[in-house]
Formats: sequence, structure tokens, C-alpha cells
Amino acid sequence: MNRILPLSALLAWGILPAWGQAPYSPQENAPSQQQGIPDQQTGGASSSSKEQQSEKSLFGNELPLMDPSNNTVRFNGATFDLANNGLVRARFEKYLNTPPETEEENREYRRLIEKMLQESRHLRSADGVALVSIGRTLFKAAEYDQDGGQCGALASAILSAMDANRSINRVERRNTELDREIAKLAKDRNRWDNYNTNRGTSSSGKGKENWKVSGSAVKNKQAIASTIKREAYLEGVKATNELANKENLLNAKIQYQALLIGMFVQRRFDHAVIGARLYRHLFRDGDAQLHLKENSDTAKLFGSSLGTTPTVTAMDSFSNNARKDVDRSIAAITLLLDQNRLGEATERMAEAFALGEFMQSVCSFPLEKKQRIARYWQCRKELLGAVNSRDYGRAEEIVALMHQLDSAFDDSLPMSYISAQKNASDLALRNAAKALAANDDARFNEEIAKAAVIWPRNPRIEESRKELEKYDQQDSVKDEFRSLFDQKNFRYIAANQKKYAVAVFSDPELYGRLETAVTTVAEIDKTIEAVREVMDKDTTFGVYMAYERLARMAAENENFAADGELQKIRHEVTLRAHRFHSALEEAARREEDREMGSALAGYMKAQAIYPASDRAREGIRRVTDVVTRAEY
Amino acid sequence: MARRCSRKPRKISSKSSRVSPHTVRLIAGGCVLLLAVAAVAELLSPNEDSSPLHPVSFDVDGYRQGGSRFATPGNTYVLKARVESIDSRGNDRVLAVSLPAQQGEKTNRLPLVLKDGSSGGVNVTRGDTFLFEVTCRNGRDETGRPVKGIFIVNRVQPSK
Repeated sequence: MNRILPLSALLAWGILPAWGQAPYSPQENAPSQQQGIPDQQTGGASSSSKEQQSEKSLFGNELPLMDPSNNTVRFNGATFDLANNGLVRARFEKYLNTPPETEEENREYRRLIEKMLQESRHLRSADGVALVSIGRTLFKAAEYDQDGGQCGALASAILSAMDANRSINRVERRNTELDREIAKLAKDRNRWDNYNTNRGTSSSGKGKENWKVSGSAVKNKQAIASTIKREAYLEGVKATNELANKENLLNAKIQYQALLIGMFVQRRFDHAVIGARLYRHLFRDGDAQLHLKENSDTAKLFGSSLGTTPTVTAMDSFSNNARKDVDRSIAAITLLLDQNRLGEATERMAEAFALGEFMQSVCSFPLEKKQRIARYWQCRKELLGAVNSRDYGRAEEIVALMHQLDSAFDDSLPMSYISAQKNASDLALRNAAKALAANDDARFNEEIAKAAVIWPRNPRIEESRKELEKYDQQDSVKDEFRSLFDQKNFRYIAANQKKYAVAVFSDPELYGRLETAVTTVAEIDKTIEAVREVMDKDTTFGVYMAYERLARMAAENENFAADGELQKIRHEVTLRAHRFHSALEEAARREEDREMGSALAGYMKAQAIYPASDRAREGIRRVTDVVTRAEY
Repeated sequence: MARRCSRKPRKISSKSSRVSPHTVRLIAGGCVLLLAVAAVAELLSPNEDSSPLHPVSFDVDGYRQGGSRFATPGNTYVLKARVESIDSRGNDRVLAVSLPAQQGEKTNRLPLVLKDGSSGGVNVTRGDTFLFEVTCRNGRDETGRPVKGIFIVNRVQPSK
């Protein structure tokens, strides 16, 4: 049953009084559990609802649903990771670095909102004055930037609802008139019918006697037919009007509910509460059910929490609980900050911001406290970045800083992970070093790559790289060594043995060659020294002794013969003992020519020069054996 | 040069014309035996060829360039040389001699092969000077390879 307000109230607001409805208390934490930080796109929920008006239902997948188990939010068919969502992070970080709303303008806005909340709370009867006050306050609050046009939208929706109600009322009045006309027609029809049947029942139902059937009976029948026809027509019009009224009412509700849900989804809980409270005053048919699309996220939000059909009252209750939850979160954050438990405070702040970004307590939170949380949040972000980029050194520093900032910070998990990765990289480097020592290039490359993949900025990788450069350089040194050895340039090798030793120590064959070169040169030098000493001491036969010793050394080993210093001293000694040398050489040539007599003469001459000559003695012995056994 | 036998053969009397064949054979055998003994005695007896040897100069340096060119037939040299060393090989000896009279290097040496018996009873000792009559010869060793330019001593005389 509708009650009609005074005309002034109707002109100002035209708000119909509503009867009270017992508030419903849903589960306390249901909204906070199911509502995370929505994506910015949810701000367009109201526009999307307008697109779906013709379907007489609201919202498909527009409402974001948060899964606290993995910190993700499902929205419009996509999944967003709260920790890694750029938009979410940016919005939260912007909030942390924004001064609180403490200016006079912000305070005035908050005061207006609070005023409307108070007035709407007590709006239990057809209070036109209160409704007018709320309406004026809405338009006033809409002028503030931080309102985002919500109050204006709500005011417009209320006016639309009122217009719809007025329209419905007009149609109802029209139908009332139609009812009267139909009743009158029925009465006339009945009268005429009575005329015809001469029964004469009056409208009071009493029979009348002595009515005479006259020629007007035919006329009456015509009139009756016309009346019947008219009645049918009017019934049809009335039915059409009723149908149109129902449709208009449903449309009006849907539009208003769309706005409320949109505000609710955008976390404008203050506006949602105000709108919900005004709903029952605008639509007094008692139907507060939310017309939601079946299986939509919005339907699940309310239905799964309540276990019943979602209603405006339920949304009102959700919103109120969300507001209280936000206020409690802010109080908890303050306490945690006092206790220097930044980690928990940051998490609570993120939750409070996700739920109550537009709430008074959130907007007016002190900047210095937000800055503390911002610093910790930044550390958290940097830690994630360092771990993602595998910069474990940097990650370790950040963990230490976070431990400084938050005494309750549990660093066991990140440090375990960091240590494991660093150890794995160092182990790979150790294997690479072993492979390098074993000349296993393939394994070395494999282990180095593995170490770099695990921890790209491992400082020991740079050390290994330098070792590898040395190794590469040693390859050329090895080649140089091989070339010198093949040329039998042992003296140069010995003079630079340290350089070559570093390059070839891991190669047994090359190292053996190095040892050969060094010992050969040492032996030659020792011999040369001894020879010079002999020549100095024995001026008679010293040079011949030197000659024979050097010749013997050269003949023993081609490595000796190739030595430059040995060749040099041999040349010097040969010059000094040229007669002896000539005699021996001549004798050897004659012996080859089978001129045994001449050969024997040559060896004998050599022996005459140097009686102790082994070569001369051996030559004489050899040739004498031949000569004495020959037949002439 | 070997000494000839100066003994005349014994005449055989006419009476022996009727000597028995056995006796004849006996006598012939005796003669043969005597001849053999004489020959042996001749051989064992010292050379009594005492014709003096006259040394000539010899180019030892040239010899060392190739001794085989001195080995033409009939090339016999008498060298006055000092024995510097003796190398014995069985009964043969190889002497290293120097030719003091030669000009040139004092260390020049000449190898001489003194076969067994060629010294003629002369005691060839080291450090002493002798006159050696030598012939340059070419030979072959046991494998058939040539052995050229070897001085073989024919005879030796002490140098006064």
C-alpha cells in the first residue's frame, strides 16, 4: 500500500515513503574474503550494466573475485596476480605516497557523507524532509572531486526512480478511472438487461415489479452489446497499463540496482549504503531482490556467502561490514606500526586499501606511517625483482634490510632459496675449474653456462672468465712452445721456462718436452763451462780435449748438436785445433775412400798432435785391423 | 837374395854301375834330403844381402791425400824413418814412423806394415831410426773390399 507524500515533497523529491524492512546480517567477513583489490576496469561496471538492461539482469563476470590462496583475482574471465599486477601495484604505491585527505575541503566532503549516512540510517518512515535533505546533500557532495561523480549519479538515479514511480502512479490512477468506467458500464448493462427481461433488478439488487417490456428492448440490446464491447476494450487497456507498469517498475529497479551494484563493486561502500537504504523508500512493493544473472560473479558473491537470494539489504549489510572491516584494519595497522611489525602492517594496509580505498579511515591515514609502509613495500618489490632477475647478491642485501625494518620478518624462506641458488652456481663454477684443469673444454663451457644461468651476477664468474682468458692465452703459448721445440730452440725455451711451464704444466707430454729442453741446455752449459776451464788450464792439449769432448757431445744427441752455444764453441775450438781437426777429418774421408794407408796416416798424425785422442786411437785401431787382415 | 849351394854333387864310380837299385834309390833320396836341408838352411839363414839402402825423400802430406797412387807396380821406396809407435797384430806389426829428414810438420806419420820375417833379423824398436825398403800395395780385405795404399816393408836396415 502506497502512501502519497505532500506535493512539495514530491516536487522536491517525489520520494514515496517506504516501510521498514528488517535488516539482514550476513556472515561478517564474507565481503572481505571475497573482495580483493579490483582491477580499474571494474569502475565501468555501471556502464556495462546499462548495456545489459534489456536482459533485465545485471553483471556477467564483471565482479572481481579474489583467491587468497594464491593472491590472484579473477575478473572478466582473466586472472591477475596481485603481487605482479602493474596497475594494482601502481595504484597502491600511489596511495602510499599521497598525502592524506586532511584539507578542509576533504573534511567537508567527509562530513557530508557522514551526514547522509546518519540521515539514511534513521529513515524508517515516510520522512519527506529527510529525503529532501539527503537529496540536497547528494548534489552538494557531487561537487567535490574525490566523490568521482558518485553522489551525482546516485541523485540522478533517485530522481529517475521517482520519475518512474510518478509514471507508475499516473498509470495506476488511470487504471482506477478505467475501473470506475468499467463498473459504470457494467451497471448500465445490467440495467438494460433488466429492462429487457422485465425483472427489473435495481442496482441494489431488489426486484422491481410491473416493469413493462417496451420497444426500447431492442435498443437496450444494442446498448448492451456496445457496452460489452467497451468493457472488453477498457479491460484490455487496463491490462496493458498494468503490464506497462510492471515493466516500468522492473526497469526502474534494474537501473537503480545497477547503480548500487556498480558502487558496491567500485568499493564506494558509503554510497552503496546510502543508495541501499533509500531503495526501500523508492520501491515500496517490498521486492528487494537483486536481479542478477544466474551464475555470475555477483550472484556468487552474495549467494555463496548468504546461501539465499541476493537482496539489496544483503548488499547493504555487506557494505556496512566492509566499512567496519576497513576501520578495524586501519586500527590494527596503527598498532602493528607501533610494534615495528612492518611486514604484517604492509599486508593489512594492502588489504585495507583493496577493500576501502575510498573510506574515510583509509584516505586520512597519516603520511609518515604510509611512508614507512611504502619503504617496506618497495623493499618487497625490489626483493621480488632481484629474485626474478636472479640477482641473489642484491636479494640478500634487501632481505637484510627488511629484517632491519621488521623485527618479525622471517627471512628463512628467502635466504634458503638464495643460499641454495648461490651454492648451486658456485658448485658449477668449481666443476668448471676442474674441467679447465683437465683440459675438458666442453665440460668447462657447460658448467660455466650453468653457473651463469643460475646466478648471472655471480662475482666468481668474472674470475673464471679471467682464468679462461689466461687459458686461451696459454693455448697460443703452447703453440709457440711446440714450434720452438720442433726447431730445437731449447735455449730460448729454457730462458723463458717459467712462461712455458705455466702453459704446459697440465700436458704431460709438453711438460716432458720442457724438461728435456731445460736439462739439455743445462748439460750443454755445464759442458761448455768445463771445456773452457780445461782450455784455460791446459794450454797444450786442452783445446784438443775440448774438441773431442764437444764433438762427442754433438754426436751423442742431435739436440746437443743443434744448440747455438755449443755450435759456437765448437767452431771456436775447431779453429784453435784446426790441425788436429783437419787430420781427423782427412783421415775419416780417406777411410771412406778405402785409402786405408792414407787414413791410417791421418789418424796417426792426429794422435801425434794429441796423443790422448780417443778418436785417433779408435781410428788407428779400426784401420789397422783392416790393414793387417787384408791380402796384398 | 838366396845363397846358391856351392857344393858339387858327388861323383858316382863305375863300380856303382853295377850297384843295386836299392842302393841307387838310397843315394838319390839322400841327395834330395840334402837339398832340402840346404834349402831350409838357406831360408833360415840370415839375409846376408847387405847391400846398402839409400833413403829418398817422401811426400807424406801427398801420401795422406791418397796413397793408392803410390801403389803402381815397381814403386819401391827406401825411407829413413824413426819408429814412433809399434802396433802388433799377431806376428805382423804396423809401425808409425816419422821422417825426421822431411821438412814440414813434425807430426806427420807414415804407417808401415812389417810382416813377419820382413825385418831380416833387425830388431825394430820404438824410438830408433831405420832404413825401410817399402813397397806401396793395394789389397782386399776378407769381404773383398779394396784396401789401398799400404806400405809393406820389404827389408829393414839399421840406420847408422
